[in-house]
Amino acid sequence: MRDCANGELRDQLPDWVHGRLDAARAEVVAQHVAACADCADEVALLRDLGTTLRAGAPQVDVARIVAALPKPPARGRATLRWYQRTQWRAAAAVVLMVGASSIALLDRGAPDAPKAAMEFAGGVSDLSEGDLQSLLKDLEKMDATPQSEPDGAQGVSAELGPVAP
Amino acid sequence: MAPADPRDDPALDAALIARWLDGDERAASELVARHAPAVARFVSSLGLRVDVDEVVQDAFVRAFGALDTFRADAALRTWLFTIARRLVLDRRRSERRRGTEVEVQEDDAATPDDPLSSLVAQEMQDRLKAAVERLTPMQREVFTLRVSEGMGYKEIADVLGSTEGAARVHYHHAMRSVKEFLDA
Ligand SMILES: [Zn+2]
Repeated sequence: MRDCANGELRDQLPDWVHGRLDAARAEVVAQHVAACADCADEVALLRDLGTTLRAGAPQVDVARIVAALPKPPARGRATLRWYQRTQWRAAAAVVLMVGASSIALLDRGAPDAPKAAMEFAGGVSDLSEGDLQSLLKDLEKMDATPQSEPDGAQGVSAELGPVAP
Repeated sequence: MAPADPRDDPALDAALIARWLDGDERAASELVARHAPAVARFVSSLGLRVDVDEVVQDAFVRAFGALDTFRADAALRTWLFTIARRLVLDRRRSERRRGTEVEVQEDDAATPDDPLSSLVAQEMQDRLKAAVERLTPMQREVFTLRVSEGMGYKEIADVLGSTEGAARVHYHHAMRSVKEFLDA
């Protein structure tokens, strides 16, 4: 298998195979490959090699990786969720303070419990300032998520040496 | 005319990253689905017996842990490859210390994930694999990134912490070596 004498064009064959050239440059390469047996051979080899290398790779379990990811750092929408949880917890606290009849209400309407509790309790606004502060502190403790290490592998500069002695 | 690679769309990556930072966890699934297979291919191309699944997952966990610091003008895939490569080097270093390092075996090749693979006869695939396995580790890395992932020399240099010129030289030496092996 010979190398085409046009080194610059040959250098771009992998980019062309992967569709990474702009339209004008891709057209130049396409015309050259159509007329040059050496480059046509190399393109065929690149495609076969790409197929072979990709075929040998293991499958990945996307769901498992996603499950292991840290939670989003929580700006906008996360603040809303935090507020909603605050409301729910505040309402639940009021229900507990009011008494056993409220518990029964929670038991009966399990899926809608937070909503029912809110209605029964008349909303967060009925809480005293002190109650709210203690609930918020409680909540902050629950929300404290460990910061992920940005890149623990940093600083490794060794190159891959020969695979085996 | 070769089609553009839809996996390689920095604008889409940037939009997905923004969505995730905004609290949309579904964006994470899309990002992982877009890039995990390529990261796994790259890790397995390094030719070492590492738990590819574990390295790929670890690379994503680290990347997502620092995604709010990720520069929008950089390529996410290049960054993931860089992290994955460091993790492999780390594991290799600790295996060396323990004296348990082993070369990846031919039998370890996993099930094909590319339907196109059936288009290339098995015998030819075996010869191509053998040709790539003969390359030096550095040539193999460069060659895999260029041929299998379609990376440019600049991206390859970023992943390997090298220069574009060095990546180009390694690629052409690798291609020459592969052709000589196939012609022999
Ligand atoms: Zn040519």
